[in-house]
Amino acid sequence: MQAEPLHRREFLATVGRCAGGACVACGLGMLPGTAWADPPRWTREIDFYDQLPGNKIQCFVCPLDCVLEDGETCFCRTRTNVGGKLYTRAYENPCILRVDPIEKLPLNHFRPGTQTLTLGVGGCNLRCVYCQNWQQSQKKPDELKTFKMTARDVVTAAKKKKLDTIAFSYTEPVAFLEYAKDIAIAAKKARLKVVVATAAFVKPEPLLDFARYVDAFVIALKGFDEEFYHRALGVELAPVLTAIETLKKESKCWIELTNLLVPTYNDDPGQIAKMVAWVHDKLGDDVPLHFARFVPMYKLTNLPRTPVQTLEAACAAGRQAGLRYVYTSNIAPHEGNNTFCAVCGEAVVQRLGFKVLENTLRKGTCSCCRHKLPGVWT
Amino acid sequence: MNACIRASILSSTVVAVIGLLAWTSPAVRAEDSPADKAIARERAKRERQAQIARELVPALELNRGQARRLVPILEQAAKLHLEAYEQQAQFLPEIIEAFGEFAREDSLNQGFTREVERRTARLNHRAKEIRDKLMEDIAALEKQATAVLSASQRERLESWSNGGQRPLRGKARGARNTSPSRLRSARKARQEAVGERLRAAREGLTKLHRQTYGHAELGSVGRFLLHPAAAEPLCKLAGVRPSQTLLAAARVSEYGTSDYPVSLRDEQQAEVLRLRGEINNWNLINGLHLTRDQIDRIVALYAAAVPNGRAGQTSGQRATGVPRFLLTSLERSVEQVMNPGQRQVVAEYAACLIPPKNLKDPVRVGQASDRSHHERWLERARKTSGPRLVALVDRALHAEAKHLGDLSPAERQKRKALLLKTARQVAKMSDADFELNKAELAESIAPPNRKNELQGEIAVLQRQRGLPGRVAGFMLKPDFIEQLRQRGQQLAAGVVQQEQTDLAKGPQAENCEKGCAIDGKDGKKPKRDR
Repeated sequence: MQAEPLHRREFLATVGRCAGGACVACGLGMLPGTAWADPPRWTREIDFYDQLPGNKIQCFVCPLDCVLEDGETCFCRTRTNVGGKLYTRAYENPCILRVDPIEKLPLNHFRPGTQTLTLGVGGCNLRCVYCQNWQQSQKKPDELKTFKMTARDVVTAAKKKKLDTIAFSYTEPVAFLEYAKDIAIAAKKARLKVVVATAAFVKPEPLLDFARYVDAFVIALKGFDEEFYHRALGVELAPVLTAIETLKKESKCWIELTNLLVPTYNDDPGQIAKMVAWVHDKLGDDVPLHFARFVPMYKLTNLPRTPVQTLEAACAAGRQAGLRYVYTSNIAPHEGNNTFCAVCGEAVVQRLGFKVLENTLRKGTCSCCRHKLPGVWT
Repeated sequence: MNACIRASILSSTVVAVIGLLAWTSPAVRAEDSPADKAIARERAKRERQAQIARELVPALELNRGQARRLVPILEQAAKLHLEAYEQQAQFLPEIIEAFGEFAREDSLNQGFTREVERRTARLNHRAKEIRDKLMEDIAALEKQATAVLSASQRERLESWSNGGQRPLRGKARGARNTSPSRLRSARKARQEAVGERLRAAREGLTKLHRQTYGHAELGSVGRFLLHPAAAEPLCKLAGVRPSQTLLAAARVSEYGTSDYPVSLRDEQQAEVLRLRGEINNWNLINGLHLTRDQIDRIVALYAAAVPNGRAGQTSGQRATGVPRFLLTSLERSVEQVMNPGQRQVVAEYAACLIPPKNLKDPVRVGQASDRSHHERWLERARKTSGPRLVALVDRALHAEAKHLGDLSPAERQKRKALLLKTARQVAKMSDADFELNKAELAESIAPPNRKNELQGEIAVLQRQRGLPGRVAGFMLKPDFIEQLRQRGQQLAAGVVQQEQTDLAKGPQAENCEKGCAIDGKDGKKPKRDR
């Protein structure tokens, strides 16, 4: 029996019905690869907020001090007022889960050559126009594909992979502080180390509360100009400096700083000079400082990569200000990847990017002159 | 006449013809500039091919019947050559412009603008497609033409190809005197363990490289007998008049067209090769991040080794500029200037036009092994099962064979079993477990990197024989050193401070305006009175 020819209208109608069906299936997560993340479950209340009349709340995790009415979500995209209580949406739902070398954070004076289980959750309380992880940081956690992992699951996964460090990176840990803290508590019980990469736009109290369970911080001091912080990052510089100083004075965490040099935005030699002088005066000459190369990303794709000369000049400025350990990051191979003994100048740790090629330190001591380098080496 | 004597006379004639042509071909003069030398090389190559093609017809002692069967095949090849010439006329100027812009941006070491990068990638890909298509089409005709030759003619042509191609412009290494007793001892010397393994490794690498990046390989029949210049002697032997197509192809191959003379084509081809070399050099220089001090030292070492600032003996196809007996010690000195990371980069470097953008790893120089492709395959395989999974595995094996060479049936079966087993294993994993283990799993299913293995073996064997290695091959050349010198001057000029962006005018970060929320119950940004 011969099939009847399909008329154009019928064909178009059929195609339209199929497309509509696909959209519905997509929305219901029935098609492969299109499953939406689970909606927030409101299980974890925030530790730092006040209740206000009329079911309002005020969050005190970061200096933004968001005041929220019922149903509203904080600027960080992760905290929501639910019936007069502030809950986190960023709980047990990381969107990034990796095994990374510790040098990637970047941490060069903390157990070099080891690996970490690194995780990140969607959301951020900054709005950096050149964010390197904007696909995750500028979304709510429940808008991303996530993994279901309790704090205990994270610790178990780390032990299964024989990793003894857990790191919070890629996105901003301040945005998922409660989850990070619970993981850090579980990690401590299991004798694992915890390291955090943060922009430190956070109030001292929650920061110190969290820092009790943290072994090391890598703090992104993104610039040294209030206008830069306001226009390019959407926040303020002063609270960041306060947070860094507080951490240095009142915690025992190991601290390293990192600065991503964005051409024509924050690479002014005057700004860099002020920044390294501040680091030296307030934090001391043993705090490692990393100058990282910018790669065009997010809203600044029109800019070139940071010239190598700019990175080298910044490192030179750091050394001139008296800092003993200044590195280049996101560029390899480069002499700036290596750790040199501040006393005898010997290259004690040689790296190729994130990979340690040679480490001649003996429990943090230079094998040439026996100088003990600052850091956590075992 | 005795068949053996005839055969030896014929092969001697063939070799003599080739040798004579090689000796009388226009040579590259030492005093020419590098650009002139490159153009002269292109011209010499073209003229040599044409001469060989003309002389090969009588040298092979084809009969009239063979010639008559070859003429229509040659006609088809002539059409392809004409088409290719026309495409080159349109394509080469465009590719020179694109590569020129790309090389300029590469020299600044600040990344590439999107348009320039895309255009370069597109044109490069297109050039490869055109070249591959031409080679494949001619290879198909070559099969037909080879079938016309007798077994002895094929055998003689093949033995000439195997022995004769290398000495085309001089004597082969290790066989300086071709008298039988010297040949035997030279052959014996070559057969020493290290030398033989080195040769085998190099051949394996060349073959692998051609399979991965190259096109169908043409033999002497495809390169010479199907060359347009062979039309006249072949038609004369066949007793037929050459067709308009054959005449046009012969004319174009020798003179070009009025709009696009062959001398211009030679210039442009030489320029494309030069630009490719320049880009490869910049990619390596950019990837090594040599300091100014390192650059000055390397340039000084090279200058001291090159006599009177001129190129010395040639080494293989390209001049290193350094006398051969100094090359190895110079290489060692240069290696001492570099740090271990830089030496490792050179050891693993694979020249490519556009450096890979693996943002997970700051060492982004040549085409170092990247497993992201295998990770994506595993993600797809997780969601597939049954016959579709088997089909997915078969497609993966087919793609691997295309790029990395065929496996034996046993190897293929083993590989298939591994891929299926891993796919089923990852399908059972939770999302989190898979995410944490996918890098390792991708590594476990990645095919053995024969190229890296062979390169490593070659480096070790060369060192054992006291031969120069990759540092010499990539870096100790006049053009690389010149570009390195330019980079040194850029670094000496210091930071070129650009005017800071007016932050009020660039893209603005969203501000909170203290106390705001990003959205409410209705999903909309709430309005507030301030």
